[in-house]
Amino acid sequence: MSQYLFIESQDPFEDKGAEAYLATALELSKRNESVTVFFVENGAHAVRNGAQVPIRDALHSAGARLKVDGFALRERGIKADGLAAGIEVGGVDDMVDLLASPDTKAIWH
Amino acid sequence: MADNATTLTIAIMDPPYETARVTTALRLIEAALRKGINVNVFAYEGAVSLGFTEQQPHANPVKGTSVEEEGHPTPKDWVAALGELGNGRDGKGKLDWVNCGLCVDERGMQNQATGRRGGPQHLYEFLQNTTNVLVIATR
Amino acid sequence: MTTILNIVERAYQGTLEEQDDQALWLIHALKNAGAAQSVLLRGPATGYAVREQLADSLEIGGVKPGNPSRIDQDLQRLIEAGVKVWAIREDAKERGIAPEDTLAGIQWVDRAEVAGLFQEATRIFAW
Repeated sequence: MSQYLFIESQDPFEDKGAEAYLATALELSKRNESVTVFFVENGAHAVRNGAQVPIRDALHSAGARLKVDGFALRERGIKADGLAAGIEVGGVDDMVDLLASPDTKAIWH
Repeated sequence: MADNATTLTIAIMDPPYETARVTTALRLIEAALRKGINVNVFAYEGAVSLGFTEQQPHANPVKGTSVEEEGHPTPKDWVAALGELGNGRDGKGKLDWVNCGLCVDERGMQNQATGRRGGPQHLYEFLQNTTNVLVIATR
Repeated sequence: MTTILNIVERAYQGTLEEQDDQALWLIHALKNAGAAQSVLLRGPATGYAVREQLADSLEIGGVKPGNPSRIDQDLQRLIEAGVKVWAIREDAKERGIAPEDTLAGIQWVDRAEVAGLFQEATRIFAW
């Protein structure tokens, strides 16, 4: 069975493309597909508890797995205890583990 | 996961210093190699400058520090280190780094720290023999 | 058979060379090598669907490109080579792109249909 890995590197407040890709991730989640969204680089601005990112919360509610690169957190001074609901801290090892499965459809934005 | 049967293909497009994508891509490549996963890299467009051997470290006139005091590597050093790490020994994966030859020529970057010269045919061959693919395009 | 969905979003990268857009050029090269591919134009790249794009006025310091890029012709050649090219209807509409100004071979889809294209593809490359 396929799983989807969306690696989102863009600040969702600046890049409309980020919202478009996350909307596709949400639609796939609603279709009961296995979806992981991995926030990296400036995509990490989406994960603070106070960040207003409705589509992030919708993805969480729809059952998507939400992860953030711990390096991106530390680089931006984002504390692990200040993350929005459902956000897990991971790293490139976790991304590689997902990529190592031929059933993963990986999309970098 | 050190099975040496898994291969990832990563296509990158960015030159160093302008975006974080380069940093993340190099981190991903290292993580995969350390797990025993073989990695194919197709360096396209500006990414062929990552391993250009004529890069030179510099002093920091704002801080008043010398080259030696700064001690920072240039991207070619990281690319060379990945080339060494990806020799397939000690349970590590093998790195096959291909620089797009047309992109190399138009930038005058023939001297490379690692990898070989290639083209779209090499990317096509990578795609035929890989577990997965990640395209990290420029934006 | 592995099928690749290429999402082309970034558009107009400086027109320095005929191979602008670099993603479309590489997609065509991979098609020639035998890869089964399709293209989805989204965001600014929906502009690529417009007919009669001309960058032939580029001249800097008296130096002109010998073969300026012709994105619409590149896209047309891709379609004629058998590559299915979709484009997102809403993305074009919000940019004021009129359907009658676009290449006949483009297949227009709604944003809500994109997830289905992801499900049909084996691999997804976002350019």
